[in-house]
Amino acid sequence: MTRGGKRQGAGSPKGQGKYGEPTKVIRIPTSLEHPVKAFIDTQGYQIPLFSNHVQAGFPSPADDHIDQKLNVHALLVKHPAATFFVKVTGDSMIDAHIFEGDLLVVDRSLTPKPGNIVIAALNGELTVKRFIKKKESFFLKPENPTYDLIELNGEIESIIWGVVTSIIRQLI
Amino acid sequence: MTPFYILVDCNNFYVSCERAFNPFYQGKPVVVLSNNDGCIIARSQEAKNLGLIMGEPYFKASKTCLENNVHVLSSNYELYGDMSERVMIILKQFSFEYELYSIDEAFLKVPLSSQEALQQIALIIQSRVLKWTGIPVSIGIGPTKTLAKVANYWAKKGCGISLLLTQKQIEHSLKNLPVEDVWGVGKKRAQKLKSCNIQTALDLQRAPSKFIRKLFTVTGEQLVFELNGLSCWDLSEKTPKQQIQFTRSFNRPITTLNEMIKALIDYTTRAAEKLREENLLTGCISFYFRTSKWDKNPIYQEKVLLLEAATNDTRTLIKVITQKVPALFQENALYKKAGICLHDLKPPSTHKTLFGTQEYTPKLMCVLDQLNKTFGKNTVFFASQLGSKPWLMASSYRTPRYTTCWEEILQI
Repeated sequence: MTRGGKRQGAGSPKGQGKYGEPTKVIRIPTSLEHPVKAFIDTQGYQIPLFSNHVQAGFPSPADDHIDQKLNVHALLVKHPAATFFVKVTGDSMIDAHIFEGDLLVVDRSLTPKPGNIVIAALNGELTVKRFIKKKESFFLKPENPTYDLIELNGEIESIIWGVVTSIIRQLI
Repeated sequence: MTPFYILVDCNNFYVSCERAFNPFYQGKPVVVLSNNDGCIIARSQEAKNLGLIMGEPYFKASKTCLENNVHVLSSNYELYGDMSERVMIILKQFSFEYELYSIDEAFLKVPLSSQEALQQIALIIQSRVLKWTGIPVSIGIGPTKTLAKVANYWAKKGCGISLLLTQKQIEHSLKNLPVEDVWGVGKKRAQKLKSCNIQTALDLQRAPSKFIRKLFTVTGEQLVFELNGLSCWDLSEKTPKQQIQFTRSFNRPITTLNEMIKALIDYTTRAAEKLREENLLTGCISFYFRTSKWDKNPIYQEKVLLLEAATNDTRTLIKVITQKVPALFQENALYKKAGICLHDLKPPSTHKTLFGTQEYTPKLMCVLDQLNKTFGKNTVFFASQLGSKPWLMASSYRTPRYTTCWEEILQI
């Protein structure tokens, strides 16, 4: 056995240090020691979280850009606790492009403004009409000339059930 | 500043849910029947005025109902559950500290103590819940939960809002309240109190707390403190479930083993779904079936089964049940009712088997639940559930599930 010199295979295997890969000694100006160390520790060298398990395949360039998917429900329903869906029967609103079988999104939290399409309780029945104001009186107007205008007497609050915010019509 | 407790209670909740979608029922007598159309479990004010009693079997009340044009409805639990959730979402907007006490009641704790501020918040809560959901609520406010309950009692009788802030208000409201109507005092306790000459809530408030403690342990003493405005019972976290039950009467008697097993499998499936929903495991399952209580020789069979390892796998539970039923089943009997109960419920973390841990929710069960949640109940089910189910609940007068089922949404 020779004395002194290199001992083959001694020490911990390469790549076990804090950088996870073999390192080498280099000479740098003393004045740059700190900036270089800081560079390595922060931006220049980030230790991969799972350095041993590199996923095969090419990462999608879009991965970082998907924040969230479009959500139709979130678009149509602003107040979930107060939103109801109803299905239209009859033809009293055809001039407002509301047809039999359409789904209406109804928000009960909204206060109806003249011009809004609303769900109203008339004679114990719920119906869809346009809420309008003429001079100082309020009316429910069917959007079909064969139906009559209905004048509202009594408390609007108790008659108007909710405000229609969207129409959903599936074509297929 | 002492906080105040607000108790919000939905008026005649089930009836109000029905009225929200059917204004025709407004101002008319309406009752809702229990599972299987057995008893009256909700009444509109008009129905109460007719003398219809809570819990009364429908066959006894049907004559009164018919004569007075009472609208009789089967219970529509999906609708009530959904409407309850909506009400609770609204209530949570008013305070971070809340306790959902039951399907139609919730406590809120607010750091307000001026009469005006409390009055105002009560008015806003009341009008918002009514506007957003159509459900009328009564509101009681007091310095303790018990006094909020007392306030609510009077709110229901009056204009819907009642505040107990000053000693004078508290005294006045307790003086006219029979002691049996105090929160937590049942019929039995009331009898005992009355024999000690404690007739009203005020008598109880003024009773020596040590004496009440002797009668009803520490809870009784706390109740006296609560009536005196000293808060002992804070908002409680949701207590974990102790057991999950699924019990139903049959629509017509079951006479064959095959049908009985099928019914129990059905109930087990439902109970297991609930179990997974609550993220729990069960270590023990029991089942029973019985003939009518009024039979000459009533049969009641019950079996408690310990499981080798806690589980929430429907397959395991079904297997255990189907093995044990045949031995207990007697031919030539008319079975009226059966039930399943899951006991020894625990969260997965405390769960260990002798041979290491197992994944606590089997993948298949997750997929099953997900499919049934996305595509509607019974999209996927066990083959052993196949076939007709003549024992299914009668709900002859159920309204559509307006808010939870696309096929049944409100038509206008």
